[in-house]
Amino acid sequence: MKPGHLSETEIQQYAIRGENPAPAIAEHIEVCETCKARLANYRLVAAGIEQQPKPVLDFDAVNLVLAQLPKSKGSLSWNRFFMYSMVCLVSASIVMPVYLFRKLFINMADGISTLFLYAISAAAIIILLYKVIELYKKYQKQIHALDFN
Amino acid sequence: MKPVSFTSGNNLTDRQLVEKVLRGDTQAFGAIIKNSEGLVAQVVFKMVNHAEDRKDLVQDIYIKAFKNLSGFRFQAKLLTWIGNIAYNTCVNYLEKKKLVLTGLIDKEDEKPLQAANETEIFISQKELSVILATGIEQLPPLYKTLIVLFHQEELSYADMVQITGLPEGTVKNYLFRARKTLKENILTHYKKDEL
Repeated sequence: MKPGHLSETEIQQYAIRGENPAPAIAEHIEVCETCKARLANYRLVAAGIEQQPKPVLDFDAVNLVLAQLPKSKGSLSWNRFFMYSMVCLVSASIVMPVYLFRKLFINMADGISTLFLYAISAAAIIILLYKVIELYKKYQKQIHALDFN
Repeated sequence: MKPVSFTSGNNLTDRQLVEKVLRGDTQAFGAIIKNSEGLVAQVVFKMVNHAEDRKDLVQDIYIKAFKNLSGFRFQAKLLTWIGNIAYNTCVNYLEKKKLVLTGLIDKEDEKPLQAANETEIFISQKELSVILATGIEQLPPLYKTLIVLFHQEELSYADMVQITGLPEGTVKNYLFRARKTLKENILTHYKKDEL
């Protein structure tokens, strides 16, 4: 058994949420009327706090906050459908002519050396990449400007 | 997309709610507010005394939560994540107003223990409630908040660590001091009544 009285920490640990005490502490509580009273007092405090009324917001937080948010995107599926349709249309407008006039393109490349053909292709890809990156940066800048922060 | 009814109970998980909001269903955010407003109210009421400021702060907390929801990685519970936003928003408010967060209740702690003189308190429920309500209100904001988060919201130490960003030892220490102060308040009143 623990000699002397228990410390405040030991009493609190035992009183609050019934944390398992060391056997020596439990034995002490059994026989020491003072520590038993101290334990009961902490339990009284804990029970008293639990029974205090909880604060309630005196306004409708949901409506107040939702009114400040961007409108619900209920037509999102339509927006997506439209976006995907546009992507398909643009892709088709590029792929179809290439496919239909493929012979013409092959004939055009006939008189050109392979090295020159590679150079033209590389230049085209670089320009395309540059434009895409530029477009993306511009888009990011615009999104950032719209940011609420 | 079917909007979430936030006025009735819903069984959607945090993840489902967050995904709905991120897909553009702002109504789903209403359910998140409903689920967390109790905790937010506890934090705001215990840290801020001015009623009008509380209203602004609650709005501010939820707007911040909405804007940063895409950054929520489910490493914590959604509730404690919002609790952390609420806590930080209130701490910023207190700093701006030059108000104390922790204050000093250490004086009480320094008192020599008089364990041998302590007797069991027998007090009416009504009287206990009044003394405790006053005692809690007199505690510094952080102590008040921790006390209600632990005893009323029944949060774990881990949750309180996530909300406040304080080490677990500090949280336990503040809770210890707050309980001790409250108990001594009751003892003082009780002894006065006895005389």
